[in-house]
Amino acid sequence: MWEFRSMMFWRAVFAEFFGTMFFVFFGMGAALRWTTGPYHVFHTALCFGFAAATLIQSIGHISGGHINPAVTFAYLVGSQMSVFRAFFYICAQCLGAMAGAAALYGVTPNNMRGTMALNTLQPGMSLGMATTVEVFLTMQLVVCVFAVTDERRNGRLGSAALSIGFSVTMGHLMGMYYTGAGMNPARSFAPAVITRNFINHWVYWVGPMIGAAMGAIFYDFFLFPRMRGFSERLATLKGSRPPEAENQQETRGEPIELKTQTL
Amino acid sequence: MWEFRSMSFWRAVFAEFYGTMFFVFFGLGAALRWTTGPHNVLQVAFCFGLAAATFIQSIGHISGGHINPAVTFAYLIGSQMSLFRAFFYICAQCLGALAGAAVLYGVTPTNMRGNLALNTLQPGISMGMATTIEIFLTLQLVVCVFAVTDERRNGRLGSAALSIGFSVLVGHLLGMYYTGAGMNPARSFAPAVLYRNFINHWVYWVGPMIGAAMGALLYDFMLFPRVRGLSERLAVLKGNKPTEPEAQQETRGEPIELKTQAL
Repeated sequence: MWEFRSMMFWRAVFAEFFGTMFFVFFGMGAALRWTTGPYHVFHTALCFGFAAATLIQSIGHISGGHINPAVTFAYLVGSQMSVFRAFFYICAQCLGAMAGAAALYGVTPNNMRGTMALNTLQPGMSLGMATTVEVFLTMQLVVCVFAVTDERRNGRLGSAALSIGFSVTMGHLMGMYYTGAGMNPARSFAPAVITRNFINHWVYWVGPMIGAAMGAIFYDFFLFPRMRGFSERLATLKGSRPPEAENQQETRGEPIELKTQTL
Repeated sequence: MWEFRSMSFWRAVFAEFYGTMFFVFFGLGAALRWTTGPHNVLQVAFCFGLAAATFIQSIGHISGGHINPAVTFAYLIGSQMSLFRAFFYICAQCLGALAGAAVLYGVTPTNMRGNLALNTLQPGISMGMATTIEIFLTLQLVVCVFAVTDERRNGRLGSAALSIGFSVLVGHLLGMYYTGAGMNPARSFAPAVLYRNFINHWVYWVGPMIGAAMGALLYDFMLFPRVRGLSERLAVLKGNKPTEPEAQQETRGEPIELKTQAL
């Protein structure tokens, strides 16, 4: 486990902790019931989206800016990071989410805490419906993440972080009416732990993880195939290739001009 | 038909299917009558706009990211893609829209489906008025698309996908009060098929297609003329030039510095 001894690795893990902590703090903070009425969804969606954009911009060059266990899982499925690194990222994200939620709990007046923006299924939603919505929400996010971080692209990308942030906003604008728009298991996990309410909580892990895997496979094998052999993929998962593992994590500013291979 | 045998062609077609499917799923999902009142327009407009931005960002480098039959038609009018490709793109977009609407129908509680955000003329709007609105909505979108994907430009464009997304957003902010803001025939087509309600449906095809044609002609022949002979244009339409159609589809990052010809 060469990564264990690398300070850069631990800085990346801590960056994920920091990113997820602040994402949950601000996102859930805006999602509390400060007002009732129609603007709530729009307000919350913008806050989550811009929080994602801001924090991905802040830590993207350090850890890849996942701040979402589902995105980390997608990178794992796409063989773009090692199992070891993925495990630590997911732990850091869950702990960061809990830290953010705890801090928010501490600074919010008693009468405003409510359910701490706990994600629940809306009336009329069955478990199957909810899981499907979560799959769609996360799949579009993952495909967008993979597309904007693809180092083979050389187009007018603009800001990768902002694109991902808007993808999160869009998911919330629709998803909040169905499932509260989980998309991010760490975000759903934090208030569930604090309020000790795990009713239907599995939907917010299973849906996003399935969506993430589908997105990763869809992009990497079908939409814009990445030609890598099995042994190469296995080596990345084991963490045997230090330079590639590091490079894959960061969004690059000067992508290499690569011609897409015509199959 | 050389394109038929190219895997990248079929990946592009499927990318259009995927992009339109998710665009309709998220856009219509937010457009359902979850709340009433003026704020609904703002929220729906943002969702459609950001959905367009996200999916164009996700598939733009694969298929050109049209996700709209009118935009595909505009590229056809501008002789920037072959008839064969345009036909398959439009079929994929219509099927993708149907798939997205069908999934949305399946995951939405019965009492919330309404008419699945079917586009209808608002009270007091005649067919002539509505068609004119649709023309304007689509004309501005097409000119924006052509401008941001023009490989002759070399300025600080920022994100092409985000620019197009905001163009869609602007169209919805105004158009929803008049016609529900079609702009995209596939988006209007999907709920019409599901509910078998085609009253005034032709407005949502004729308006956008006329607007697209006008936009293409305006940009390619007047605003920023692309000087190409008839034989060259004909060759592209027939699909005789394999390299150019492929290259035209993708947004480029390093456009050639060309001096605008003074007419």
